[in-house]
Amino acid sequence: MASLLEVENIEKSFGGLKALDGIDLSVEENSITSVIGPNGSGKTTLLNCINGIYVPEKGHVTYRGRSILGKKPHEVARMGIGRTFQVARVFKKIPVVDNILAPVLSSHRPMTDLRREAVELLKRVGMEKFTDGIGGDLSGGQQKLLELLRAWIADFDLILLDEPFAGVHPELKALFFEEIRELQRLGKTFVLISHDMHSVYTLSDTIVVFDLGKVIARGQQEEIQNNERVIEAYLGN
Amino acid sequence: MFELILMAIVSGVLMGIIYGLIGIGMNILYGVMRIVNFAHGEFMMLGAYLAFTLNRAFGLSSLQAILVVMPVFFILGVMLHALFYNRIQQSEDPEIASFLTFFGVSLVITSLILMIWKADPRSVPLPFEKVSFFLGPVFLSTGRLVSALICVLAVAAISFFLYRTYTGKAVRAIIENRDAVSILGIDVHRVSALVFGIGLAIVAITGCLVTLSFPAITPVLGQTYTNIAFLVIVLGGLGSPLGSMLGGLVYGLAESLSSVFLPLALSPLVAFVILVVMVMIRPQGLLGKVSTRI
Amino acid sequence: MKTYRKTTLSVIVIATLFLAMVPVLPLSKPYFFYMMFWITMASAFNIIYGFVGYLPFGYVMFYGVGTYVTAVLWSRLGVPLPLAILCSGAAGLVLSLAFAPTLRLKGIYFAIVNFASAMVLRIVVANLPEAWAGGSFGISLSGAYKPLASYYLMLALTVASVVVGLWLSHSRLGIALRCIRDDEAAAAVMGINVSMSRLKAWMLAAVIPSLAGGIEAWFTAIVDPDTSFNLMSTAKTIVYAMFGGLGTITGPIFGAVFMYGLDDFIWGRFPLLNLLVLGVTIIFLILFLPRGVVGSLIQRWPGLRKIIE
Repeated sequence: MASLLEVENIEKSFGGLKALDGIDLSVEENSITSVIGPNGSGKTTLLNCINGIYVPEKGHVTYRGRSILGKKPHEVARMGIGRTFQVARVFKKIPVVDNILAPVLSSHRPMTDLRREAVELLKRVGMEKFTDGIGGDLSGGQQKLLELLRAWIADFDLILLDEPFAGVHPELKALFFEEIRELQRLGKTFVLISHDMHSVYTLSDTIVVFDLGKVIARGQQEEIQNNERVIEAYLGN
Repeated sequence: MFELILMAIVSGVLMGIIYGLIGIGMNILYGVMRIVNFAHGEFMMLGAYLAFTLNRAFGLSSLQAILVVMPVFFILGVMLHALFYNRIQQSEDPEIASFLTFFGVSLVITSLILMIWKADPRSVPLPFEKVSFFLGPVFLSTGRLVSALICVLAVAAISFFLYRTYTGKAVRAIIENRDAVSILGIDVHRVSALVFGIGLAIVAITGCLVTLSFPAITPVLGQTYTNIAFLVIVLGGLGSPLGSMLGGLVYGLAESLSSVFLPLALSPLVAFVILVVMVMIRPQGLLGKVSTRI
Repeated sequence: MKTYRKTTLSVIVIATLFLAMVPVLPLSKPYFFYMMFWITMASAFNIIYGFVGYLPFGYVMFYGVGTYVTAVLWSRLGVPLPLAILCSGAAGLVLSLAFAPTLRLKGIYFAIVNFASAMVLRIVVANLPEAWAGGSFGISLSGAYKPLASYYLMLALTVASVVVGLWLSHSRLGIALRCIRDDEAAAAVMGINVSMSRLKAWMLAAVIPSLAGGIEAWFTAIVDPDTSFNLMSTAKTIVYAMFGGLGTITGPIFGAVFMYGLDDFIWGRFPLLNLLVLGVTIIFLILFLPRGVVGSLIQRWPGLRKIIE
């Protein structure tokens, strides 16, 4: 399989603190790669470096063989990389439908089609009654689901999920699983950050473990579970 | 030419000290409350007109007037705080809300001045025998020299307050980090009220000093002083009270030196051009650290 | 959705027809001309402050430059007036592009820099050689005085700016601007080009007052720096737009009609009180009615959003 995203030896520091210290990551097309690690190990910083919120001081990021280093967030998004946030970033004062339309405003498809599709997506996840409400009306879990609907409508090929299951009701979580699986069936690729080990083990093709801005292990479930450095990082020393 | 420049430098420094104090008055409100007092110059004019009336009615000099106007303005400041502070903090964008509110206040003050004192230029007789003198080759205005001295005293008093008293340290702590101090048990609301009072008391000093430093006052002068105050605090760094002194000196010198080289009609341009350039290049001020707020 | 569109359209058509008949009715042409002028200014200002959230405190400069471009082109170069007015619009665009770098400033910094820039323009214009811009006395266009033609041109511009506002609030650009206002970083991550969207709104908000300036110069047939770059014009624009309600389309229209009426009434009787009333109104609006009349109504009864906008 071809690799969709290549992260090579990137470094990013804040003041004296090295948040990312020589990270390598290769994400294969149509896979789900999970990034786990203790709080502050640099997981979210990695996502921010991929979608252009931060520019790493060193290293390369390539997507489909093209460098995306230094590209602005909106340019990265238009290349097909979508993103959800640890705390959902829903536009609180804006109608729910328009919230879903946000990533396709630059597309050339007619607005009426897009609106219809947005409403259909809301129906899919049983949220059609919120169509005319505003983003702020939704619960935390629903806001996270809305972020995923954006990825649907925008047809992002690579979707970066930052803690999608944290604080989400178990029923909604099951729905999330279904949606992610369905998107994967459609050929989408995921990078997943999560503390929810059960979800990580069920969904992931590859798991990468971060600690203090470095990759300390990578592989499948068994390899990770039995890795001494991982146990050390989590349990402390 | 050399003498012209020397005189420009001396007068620039004197005016710069006064401008610095004008800036401190505006900056302390911004630093502590994020309140942009766009009526700053109008409040100064109100102080100047009060000095005028005190002179007419009781024969007080501008210097004596300071002692009367200062407490009045302090109380006025505390009252304004009680009226506006909470409402402004609750609005969506408190900085812009305060800016527009005080723009409204500036219109109210200007119209009140026009109604009470009319539009004619007014002046207060100077309390000195010699209104000007030569110090070597340098021609000095006594009024400006005395004004600058009073400003230096005021700045010393403000520095003492900010660095040596408990409340002053609380004020600086609030400027540093407004969110953290309420956890420390500092009553931000009370300190804000006090700072509003102090800010306007400083305005009272500078307002009275205007009648010493300039031959006449008019109701529309306020806008000019507001602009100068803005420029001074942008130069010195928004929210850094003593940085305003540096800002004042830089602007005082720029203004007086430009008057040597530029036609009179273009001299107001200097302030605005410096303001625009400064904000575009170094919005954190001459000495300020790079802030993430912008 | 459909029926409400029809209502909006019919209201616009009726209002336009009435304003078109003003010159033949026993009504004051200048009164309605300036009413339209303020509707235009407030609606255009709403684009940049209501939709984008940027407060250009020197907004008057676009109008001021518009008045001067028309006056100079007509009086010095003999350019026909309608063409000169188009050039005013173009000048507004150029000016907005020149000030595009200031869009990276936020909040009070943007407001102050814009204000200072307007002051710079005013001083520069007043000090240009008299043979070019007439100095502090300004330029007379009395030779071109055609109140009827300029009245109808202003009517056209007013209708156009209201329609542009309506279009914007439903367009992709409008949605993008609302997203940016809500959460700039999130909007960018979703592929919205933040600076480009803002720039488009900024240009739109600049070209309209510049055209209005050109038309107003023709209507009054006199242009001078104090009037063209008067801070009070910015103030009135802000107050009128805020009074009705920023971010809504009907708000600035209602605000301009009502407040201009009040302003005109007070100005005619108690000129000194005018400033006081304006000041008190600003304070009252910011502190007690920040959403304006229409905005507060919509907030109280959200269903109203379907009827008034």
